[in-house]
Amino acid sequence: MARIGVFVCWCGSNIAETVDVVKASETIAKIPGVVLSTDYKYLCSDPGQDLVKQAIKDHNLTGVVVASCSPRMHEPTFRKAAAQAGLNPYMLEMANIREQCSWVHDKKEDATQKAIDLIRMMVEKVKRNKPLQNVKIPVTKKALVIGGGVTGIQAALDIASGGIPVILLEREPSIGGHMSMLDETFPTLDCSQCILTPKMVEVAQHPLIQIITYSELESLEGFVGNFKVKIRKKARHVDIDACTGCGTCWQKCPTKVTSEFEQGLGKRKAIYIPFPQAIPSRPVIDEDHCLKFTSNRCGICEKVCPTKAVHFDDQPVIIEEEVGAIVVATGYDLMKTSDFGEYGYGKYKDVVTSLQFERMVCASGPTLGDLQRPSDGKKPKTVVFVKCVGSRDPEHHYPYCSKICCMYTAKQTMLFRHKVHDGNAYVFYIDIRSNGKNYEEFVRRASEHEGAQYIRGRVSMVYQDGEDLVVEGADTLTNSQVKIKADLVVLATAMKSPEGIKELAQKLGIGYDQHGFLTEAHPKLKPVESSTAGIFLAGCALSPRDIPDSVSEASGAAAKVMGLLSKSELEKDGVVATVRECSCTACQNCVKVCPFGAISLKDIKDRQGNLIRQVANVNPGLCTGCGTCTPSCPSRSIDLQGFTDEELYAEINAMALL
Amino acid sequence: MNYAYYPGCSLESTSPDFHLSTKALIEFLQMDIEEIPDWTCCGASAIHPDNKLLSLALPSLTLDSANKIKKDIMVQCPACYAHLREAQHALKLEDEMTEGIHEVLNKKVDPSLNIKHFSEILVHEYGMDKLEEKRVKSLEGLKVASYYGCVIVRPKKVMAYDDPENPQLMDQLITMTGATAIDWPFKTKCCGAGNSISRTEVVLDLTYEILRMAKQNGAEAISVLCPLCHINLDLRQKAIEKRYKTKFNLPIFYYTQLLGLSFGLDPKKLALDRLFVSPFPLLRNKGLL
Repeated sequence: MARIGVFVCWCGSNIAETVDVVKASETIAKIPGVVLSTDYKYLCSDPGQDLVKQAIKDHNLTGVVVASCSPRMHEPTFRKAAAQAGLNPYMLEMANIREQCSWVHDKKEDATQKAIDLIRMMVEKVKRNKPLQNVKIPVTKKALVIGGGVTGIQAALDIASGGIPVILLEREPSIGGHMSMLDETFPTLDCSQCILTPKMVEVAQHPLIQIITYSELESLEGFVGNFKVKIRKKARHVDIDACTGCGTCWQKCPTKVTSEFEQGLGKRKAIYIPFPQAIPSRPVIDEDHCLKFTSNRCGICEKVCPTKAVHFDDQPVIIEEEVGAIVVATGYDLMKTSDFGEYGYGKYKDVVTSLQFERMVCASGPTLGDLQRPSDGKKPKTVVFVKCVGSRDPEHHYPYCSKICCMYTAKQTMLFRHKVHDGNAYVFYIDIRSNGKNYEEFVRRASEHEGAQYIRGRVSMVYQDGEDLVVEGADTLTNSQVKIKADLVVLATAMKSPEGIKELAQKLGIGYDQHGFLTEAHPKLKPVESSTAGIFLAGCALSPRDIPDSVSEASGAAAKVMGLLSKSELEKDGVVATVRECSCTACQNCVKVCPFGAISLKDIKDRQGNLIRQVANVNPGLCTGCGTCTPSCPSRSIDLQGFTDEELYAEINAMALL
Repeated sequence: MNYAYYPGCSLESTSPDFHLSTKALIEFLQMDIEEIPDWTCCGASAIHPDNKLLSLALPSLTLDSANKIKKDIMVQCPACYAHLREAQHALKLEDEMTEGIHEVLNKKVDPSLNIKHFSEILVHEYGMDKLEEKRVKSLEGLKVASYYGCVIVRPKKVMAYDDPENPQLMDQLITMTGATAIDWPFKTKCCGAGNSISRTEVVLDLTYEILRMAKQNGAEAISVLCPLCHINLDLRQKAIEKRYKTKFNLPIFYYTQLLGLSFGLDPKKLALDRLFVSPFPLLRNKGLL
């Protein structure tokens, strides 16, 4: 026998002004099955909740309807209260007589009648509710961080500091990412490598962190707390354990290749480490350029290696790991000078990107920090910095702002002037966006104290005029055209998503936007979570951002991981789909329509182990309770608990049949 | 290759050399191209700053005339090209402006026909291989700067003509003739356009840069596809030389004239004698006459 208690909230005047709550509760009291119907000023308050709890005990209620605000507000509040009073929380429903009634109507009589109808609908539903149990999922206490730049490194360190083992996966031969390519960082002008390498070493030495470089994610299966990961380790051709990093091999290697780390401005060998501080400090062989692989010649490295660590016959290997949570910190890429026709399509050697400029001024760069023009090696006297190249450009390139360029351009003017004391640094800008801590002061330092000359206007063309490289632009503040003979032009090219990100996102089952940036679950309130449970996001993989923000997010994502993996079991709410196996024909409609891949086929076998038939089976860990499967079933065999057909039809009938 | 030819006012008045050389090519290549009957001025530079609706309605009239003979349109003049395309774009948007156009013309105009530049038709449809077969005289040894002017490449969405930063279509045609198409950075730099009449010094200064850069990069002649650019580079060349106390001696060809030369067509038929900076010394020098 149903014993339903109904509580109608005044919500101060929010509801009571438009809905006669007293009349509503008196009318509802007459419905069969309702043993208690009362009203109260603020049900969500402590005394309000106590009222509900006491009533559950005093009247032996089997179900509760709270008629008040949207369940998005306080359903957890009231369900928790019900649980505390000994009533299964799923036996409590809310009737929204605020957002869907008192806030959108003004005629009291009609609004009151509507409120009564809404409450009656929920009473009829609650009579049919079942006492659901939360789903419990076991958890693997291990994490995977994809991306070994500063963001991934920070996330790995934070997770490991919580006692959870971490795999740090990086597709380049070394961890470090883009930060390891920078000279000095804003706003402190700290040497980038000097602040990064301690973290890199900490990661390398941490007993709980396993670094896997030169490898990529092959596939992902499973669900939150229970991911099965396959990792493809590319053939390094060097045994990392036998190798001592002595460098004899790369010294003797005869093949020079354009270095990716030096952004095309320097060379490396076919067997190489990308930079001196690489971790692991063990080389890889580039199969595309090594003579052994291209024409079966040479092989000197194998001969000279003192520990016989070179193995030309290495093959890629696929390893399997089980993890409970994943952090995606895959970083960014930068547009190239060859993407821009107005700046020469990459044919002018002295037109470089901001990242190339970093390598040019860096003491560990291709010219050891001696700033030289790439074309003739002379010291540049006039450097023109062009901002917003490819960013804020919905017509031709990317509509968004790349966020860091205003700051690093100010920085680069100073790096240039520190090396060339009488140099001219011009910056063409549209705006100056310097909104972090000490950022504004940093830009002012560049323009007011360190001689950077800012020109507000765009650059229409960079071209070669005889011996000179000419920059033609506008100065909108003086309403004139500007022509500058530049020795070097530095383009602040747009940040974009890295190669292969869409494929990776699809393997992980996470969302991305039209630019390839990964989508967070909520831009304001869930900035480090993806919409897929157990997979977290941090850093430039989400959108352009600077190092402080990326590191903060890394720690944020790590905190989420630690929260997830701190329990031995995960508890998920019980609103999941279930299958009535006796009537299921395994037509797989539900399997196909489930947006989360939560439904698969299950074998039903006899005692001898022979297959009798298959039925649909819902993985409660992946099921989000969206209900898409329910209408897809032709035999009505799958139903969403908490929103069953029976319950929903009861609501409809309560309203439609008077 | 069935097209309706829209010469536009310039080709019929100030640039008959362009018109004549175009017709000579059409005849020689046996292309099925007839002039649109009863075409109207596209509005050129005069109308669009004054009245947007009129600037779209006027070229729509020509679209309608082309519809009547059911042929896609072929143009030479970049301004005509731009205005026809803008009108087509406006008609396709189907908004208030479209309604305005229909009201002014008192009829609905179907915007679905194709509008192409002759250079696009030659390269993409007639085909470089077939063109090369027709070549009887190689213009080898002649160094030509292809100058497109600024109108034909922008706005990118409307014109969709080649690469707006470094177009190649005319360069490809020049190369086909055997001449050398030099690489240079001012292919789409503005010559000053209509300021030729109202503020001539502006044109002298802007066009000087173009002539200077072409010569600096080794050009012996310039090839153009715009009648107004042609006036500024050819007609005004002497004034520019005087103003800057220099000599250029750069003949300014329409690309159709160079193509016609390589096909062995009569220089008179190609209206080479109508150029202000005479091309004959250069052509004789190179043994191309």
